[in-house]
Amino acid sequence: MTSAIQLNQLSKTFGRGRATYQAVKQVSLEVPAGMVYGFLGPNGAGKTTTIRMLMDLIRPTTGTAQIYGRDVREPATLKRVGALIEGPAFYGYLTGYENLEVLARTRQCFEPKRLHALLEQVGLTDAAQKRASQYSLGMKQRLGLAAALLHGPELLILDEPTNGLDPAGMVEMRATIRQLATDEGKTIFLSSHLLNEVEGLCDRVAIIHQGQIVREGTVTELLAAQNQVVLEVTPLATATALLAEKQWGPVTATESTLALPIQREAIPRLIADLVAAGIQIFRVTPERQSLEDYFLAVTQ
Amino acid sequence: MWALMTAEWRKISKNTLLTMFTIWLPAYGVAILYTLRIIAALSVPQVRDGYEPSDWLLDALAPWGLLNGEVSALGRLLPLMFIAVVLANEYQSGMWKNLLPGNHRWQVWLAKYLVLLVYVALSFLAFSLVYVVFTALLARASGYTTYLPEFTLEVVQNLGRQYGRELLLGLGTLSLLIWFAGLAAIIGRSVMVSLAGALFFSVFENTIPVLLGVTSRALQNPDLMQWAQLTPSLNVVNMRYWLLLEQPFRFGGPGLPAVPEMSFGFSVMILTLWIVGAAAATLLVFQRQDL
Repeated sequence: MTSAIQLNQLSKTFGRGRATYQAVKQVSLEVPAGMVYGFLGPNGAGKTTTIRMLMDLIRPTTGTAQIYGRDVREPATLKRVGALIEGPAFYGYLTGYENLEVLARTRQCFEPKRLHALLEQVGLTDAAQKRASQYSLGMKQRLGLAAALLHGPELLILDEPTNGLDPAGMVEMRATIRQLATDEGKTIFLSSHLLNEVEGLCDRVAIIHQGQIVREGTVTELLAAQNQVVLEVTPLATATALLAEKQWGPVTATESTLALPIQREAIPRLIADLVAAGIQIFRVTPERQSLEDYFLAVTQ
Repeated sequence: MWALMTAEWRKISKNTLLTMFTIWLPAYGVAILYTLRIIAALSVPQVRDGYEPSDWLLDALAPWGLLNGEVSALGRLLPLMFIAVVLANEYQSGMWKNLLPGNHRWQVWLAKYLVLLVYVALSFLAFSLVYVVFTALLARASGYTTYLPEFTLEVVQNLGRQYGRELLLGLGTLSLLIWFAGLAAIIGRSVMVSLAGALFFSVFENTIPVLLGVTSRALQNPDLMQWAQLTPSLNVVNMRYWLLLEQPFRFGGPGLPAVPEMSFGFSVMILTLWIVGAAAATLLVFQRQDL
């Protein structure tokens, strides 16, 4: 499968001498085309610096960034990318439509019909002739998304796209992102610190912390290792011994329950073992750790 | 490139507040001031009698003197403010992240340069036109039926020649202003810093010959004045003297040693070096800048 994004040992150090600060440390990752890829990290983790390097706004200290196999430093590479980086920015004295017009001309894709269609897609038709300075943050975010879509890019890089949106706006924005991925087949690289957003939207996730990628994989993969089952059984001691004997993994016992890490698919086998040994089962509760718990575990 | 320039043009021309209070201000100002003078001339005989007729050829060229002449430090203030604000606004508004991806940085900056050059030159053309039209109306209101010189082919040719020279020189001066304001914007990354930097450069650069004069007098070393030959403004004025009066500009004040006379070719070379140097520095710094 073609990689939409490929980062190889990407690093960025700001400042000189004693005041140096390494914002991104040897980040390597690969985003397959046609995927919604989450780039998760707490504030200041290096997400935006990485994205800025991807958009050739910041030059990496070491390493390379490629989009569809081509170096991002070739301007033609970025013609295939639309981006909304670190909050929307527009000329306050221009209307929403005029802002899009200027950006479309800059990208050599000005077509009034397309501009109107995009404004409609992001729900800004009524505000098209309003100055951008009068837009709320939510409206600016939506205009930012329209600007990112101007030239029909194959890859969308969205940096905290729901920042500043009210709950309804967040739902709308996520629905639009999902629709862009499923209906239009766009590859989406979504940076966020909102875990439920990433969990709900993304196929794969990379977690960045203090400038380094600490975990990478599908959301299911990342959380699978954290699944456990809690058993209320009697007699507890016999059950504990049996589980140890049959190598079901480390068991944590409380006064009345046993907990052990296990994949969901293995639960029927576990129950069968317990029943065969004559152990009485009163409760079996599969517990799935949330991405939030997982995220806190790997970033703290 | 054309698309980038169109985008830039749209952006600038829509910023009415900025353009109105900077580059269009002289034209508006003259229109308002001369309207008042015309009203006064029509209603007060003494005002009408006191009117001194002027030459429309010189009037048409006068606005360019603000850019290319000896008072250019003041005359350049408004265009310089305009240029500095336009360039630094991209930093202040955070728009680079939207403008640069997919384009060569040098192309984006070159488009800005060309559009600013044309836009400011047009404002001077408009200023010339407004000035001539309103002076003609004032002459008519003051009882003069003619506004000399008469409109003959020779006069028109003369105007074309003189105007062409002023325009060319103006484009050179504007190029220098744009690249230096650009450098100030890149380094300052804000409208205020860029404005202050560009204005400081413009005013300071104009005072270098005077400072050198005072220093050379204090040190009893007239050779120091040679360094003034390297300042851009002095060379612009010198070129203007050669083009309009066919003689070199002689800089010197009471008690100040004179700057050695400069040929037209020497001034062209110095100005070109300044423009190319400023453009190269601006593009180089911008190319490497983290945004």
